[in-house]
Amino acid sequence: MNKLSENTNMHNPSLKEVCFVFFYLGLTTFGGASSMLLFLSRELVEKRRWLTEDEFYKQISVSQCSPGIIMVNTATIFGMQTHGVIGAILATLSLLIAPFIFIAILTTIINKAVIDFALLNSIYRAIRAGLCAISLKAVYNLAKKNIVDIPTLIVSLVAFIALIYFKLPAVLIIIFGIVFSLIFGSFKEKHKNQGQNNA
Amino acid sequence: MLKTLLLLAYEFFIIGAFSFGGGMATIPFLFNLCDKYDWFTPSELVDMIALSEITPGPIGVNMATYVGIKTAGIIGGIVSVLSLIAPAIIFILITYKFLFKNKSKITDRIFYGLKAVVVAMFASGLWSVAKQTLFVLTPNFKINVFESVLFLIMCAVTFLYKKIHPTLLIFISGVCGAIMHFITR
Repeated sequence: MNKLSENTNMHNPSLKEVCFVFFYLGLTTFGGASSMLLFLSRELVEKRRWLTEDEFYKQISVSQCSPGIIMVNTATIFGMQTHGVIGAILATLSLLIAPFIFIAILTTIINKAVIDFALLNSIYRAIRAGLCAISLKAVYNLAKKNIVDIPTLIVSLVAFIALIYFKLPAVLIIIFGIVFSLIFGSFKEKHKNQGQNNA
Repeated sequence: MLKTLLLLAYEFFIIGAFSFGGGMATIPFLFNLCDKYDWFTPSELVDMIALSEITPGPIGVNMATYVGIKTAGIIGGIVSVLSLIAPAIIFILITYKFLFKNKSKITDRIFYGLKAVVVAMFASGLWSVAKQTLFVLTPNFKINVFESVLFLIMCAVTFLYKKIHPTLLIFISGVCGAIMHFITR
């Protein structure tokens, strides 16, 4: 199957490779939505060159706007893009294997021995500080690539304030983004076409 | 037992369908589960969240696994995780053709603003974690010195040395936390 044929210099991964990479990502990735970006882009874009940055951020946007866990959604979309429905399901399941085994082992240990939860909490807080740094880098990369002009900068600031201060639900923000695109995107295209016509 | 499994499947399917914005968005739903069932207490849930963060994998997946295993054993864990991700898979399989295979201008146009909004969503996710970790806002503003210093060092490293694997940074952070724990104890 050759679904990524649009970029000829990109290497098309086999189903085995896709499953292996998502298994590996499940084993090495930590944290929530934003820190994930760095792990994913490192593996899929920089190291293996399976996606261009543009395609990657397109997939990330869809993952963020779909319900559920963002990294799982990215695995589903990437699997779908390379190997259809089978790829989507296998890539997603590969991602889940390593975390599941870790938790299964930990829970059986906790039932038997008593874990030092004070120590655990210190480690947890330190890891969160590290995750913040990684997330900051990821959000910086994301913003650098996707905030392309003044309107998108304004939209993104408005959305940020709406999420933080007014605590609006994410669904409303997504709808806001789509409505903005439909209105402003068409202005932009007209503007571009006129510019081309004049030239 | 079967009833518990069905309840887990139902609850996590709902969580999977209505939590937008990743793992952190599932936390309020999980606290609701504490009130609704006698599966676990809120303080157990706080420990679960901590454990989900320090084991590899997306935090949302880890929490679902943990809750499921704690409630109904290994099978409970499998049922919870699969129910959690099922709505997303269905959603993506349905919308995939429109979003990625459609060559019309409409989809390009949608992505123009959508990507900008997505930046804000990721940034707000980062903000909510950072404000819990690096400083205390209420009742009095206070900076968590150890976490903030660690954060600044890790920032410098990630921005200056792109080659370093992020997993290594997480591991080093965890070790620093453990050392700090034994020093200040």
